[in-house]
Amino acid sequence: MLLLGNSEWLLIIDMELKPEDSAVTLGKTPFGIIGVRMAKTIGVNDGGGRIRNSEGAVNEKEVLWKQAKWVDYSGTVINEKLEGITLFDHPDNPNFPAYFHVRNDGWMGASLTFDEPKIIRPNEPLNLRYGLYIHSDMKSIDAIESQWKQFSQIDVKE
Amino acid sequence: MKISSNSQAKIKSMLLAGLLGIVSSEITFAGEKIVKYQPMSGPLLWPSEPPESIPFEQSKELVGILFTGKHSDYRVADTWYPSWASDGNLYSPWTDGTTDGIRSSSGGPNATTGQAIMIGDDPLNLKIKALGLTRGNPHPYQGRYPCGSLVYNGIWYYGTYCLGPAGSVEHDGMRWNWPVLGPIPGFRISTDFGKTWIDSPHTPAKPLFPEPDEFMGPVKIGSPKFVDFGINMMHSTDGYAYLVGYGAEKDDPKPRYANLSWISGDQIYLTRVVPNIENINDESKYEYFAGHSSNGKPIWSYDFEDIKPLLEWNNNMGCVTITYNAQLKKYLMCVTDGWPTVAKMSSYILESDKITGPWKLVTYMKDFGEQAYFLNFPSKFISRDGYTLWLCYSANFSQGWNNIRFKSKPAGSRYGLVLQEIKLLNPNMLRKYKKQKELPTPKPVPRLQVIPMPYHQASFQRYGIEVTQYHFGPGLHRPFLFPVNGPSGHSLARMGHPQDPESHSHHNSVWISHNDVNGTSFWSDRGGGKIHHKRIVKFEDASERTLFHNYRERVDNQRR
Repeated sequence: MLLLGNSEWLLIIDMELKPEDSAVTLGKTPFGIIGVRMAKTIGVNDGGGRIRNSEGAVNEKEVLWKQAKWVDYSGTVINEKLEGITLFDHPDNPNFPAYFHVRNDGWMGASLTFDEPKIIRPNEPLNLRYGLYIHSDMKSIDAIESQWKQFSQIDVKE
Repeated sequence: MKISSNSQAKIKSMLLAGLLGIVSSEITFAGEKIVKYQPMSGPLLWPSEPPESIPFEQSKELVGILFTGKHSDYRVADTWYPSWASDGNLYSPWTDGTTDGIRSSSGGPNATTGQAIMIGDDPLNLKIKALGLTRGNPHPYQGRYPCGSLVYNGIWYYGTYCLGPAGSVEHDGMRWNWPVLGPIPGFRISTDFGKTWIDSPHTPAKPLFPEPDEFMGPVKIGSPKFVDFGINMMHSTDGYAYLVGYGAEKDDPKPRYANLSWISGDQIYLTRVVPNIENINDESKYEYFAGHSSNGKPIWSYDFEDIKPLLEWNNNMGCVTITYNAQLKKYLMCVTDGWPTVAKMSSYILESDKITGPWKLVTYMKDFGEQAYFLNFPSKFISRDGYTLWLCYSANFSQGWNNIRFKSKPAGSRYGLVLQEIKLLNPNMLRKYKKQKELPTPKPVPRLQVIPMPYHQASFQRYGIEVTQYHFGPGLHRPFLFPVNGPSGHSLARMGHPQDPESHSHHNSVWISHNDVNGTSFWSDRGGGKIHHKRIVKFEDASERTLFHNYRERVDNQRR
């Protein structure tokens, strides 16, 4: 976890997937490996929020199953107060930029095996890193991009 | 007696109050006018802040005074110098105020001085009974106040001293209190513990000691007090009663107005006498401390002309008392420098193995009281180990004079009788106390902390306020994070699909999962796969804006 200014913060999720004895296949599916279910008031349908990605696309129709460095979901949590979460993919992840699975009903996920399955062997663990940027306002694309850049440069070490 | 007429007056006024419809549940009887009061303001190490000119070395054996915070609250008159009599009780003079329903004032031609018995062993719950008043004409002075008082072998010797020219004098645009200290018109004597008195043969015009040289001139044995040697002078091994007074010299190199007043002076003087009815008012029986011989032995002389200061600190001395602390084998001297008589006063404690010195500083208490005077240590209240004592004094009498306001410092300081528990500190005790008081040097509290919570949760907190919580309980299909609080403190993520709570029950805020692991779905709650938390590797907290590896889990994908 990394503290940012104005009570914003960054959650970094590191994973090491390592089978115990035999190879494991993660099948081709848009579901997985990380999901974020947004507050009802932030969802596009329920709350009038907005989905945006790093490529300038907006909402489910444009963002769903598209590759991006990040997807941001912002909306209101209290009246006249916009806040949101950006889901960051990391350049060291094998399928970067990831396909994002998003819905106007209020969720987003980064897919690891959208286009092809992934085999993980016991001696070759799969390391993954994702970030959640918890921020105020509906941040400009540039502001999010700059935050993503910082995230992408954080050393992937213990 | 005066007590009964006074209590009748009280009952009458109570009846009147009843008629007016005021109900009072408290009836005050004369003779029990004591407020039981034991507040604890906490220990206070009074800092020793002597002026640079101090001529006394710091004692290496007693290095400070700690006020424990225990103090009495006797709302009575002032001028208390208790003497511990063979019957176990304390007998004390008092004046200028009301004690036990009796009022005394020692100023003016009708000056009186009061006497009282203090019954009890607990300094906080003494029963103080006024034993009456005695008149003593101060003429040609204007005030006649209590000083040295001793009860020895059943005989009470009660001394008075004179003050002039008035209790309130305008000078240099300021109002002063009794700026001139006068002579000692001897001792009145009681052989029945204060019931009846034989008057002193001396008068203010013909005092006991051959001083002053001229009316209103300086004296040396000013306001002398008996050295307190314990019950019935138990620890006076030579049989003498010692009187310690303060004074000034005629050709003072540092003159000032009110130089030798009721509370200020230049030197300390000592005299001694074998106390009995024949001797006490007979000047020829008194020996005066006359300095030390060449081989360091104290010189005692019957000739007043030979008297020498025991101690001198020009313009920094004043009212003085001495108590012998038999447990520590130390004499303790309290001196108050109260100049200019109506402002804050400073008091200091000196100690010595011998009454003739050398005297060393225990502590110099600047602005003690903030206006404390008549300090003494009643020997009756010295603890078994000698380190815990009760400091007796009065304070803040001139509240508001010259627009000066005084605080009660230490707490409990007030006009009346104050008994304040203190501890004499030896270097070891002082070190210990300072160590206890010293604040630890804490490490900075991490701004970010991960706090293990009950029921398989871990709370991620910023400045103690949770931003998210990790859930990894054994009953879950997979671990997740909830809430995920935005800057406004509300969760930006949610548990479950708002329109489809059932089939999307796996939408748990923020989670990690996959829909096809070797053909098994871990994604849906009905897919058969469960992600099972195995163990926590490490909690790690940090303050800086750095990556925060705080918590790790090992997931074990398995069919259930």
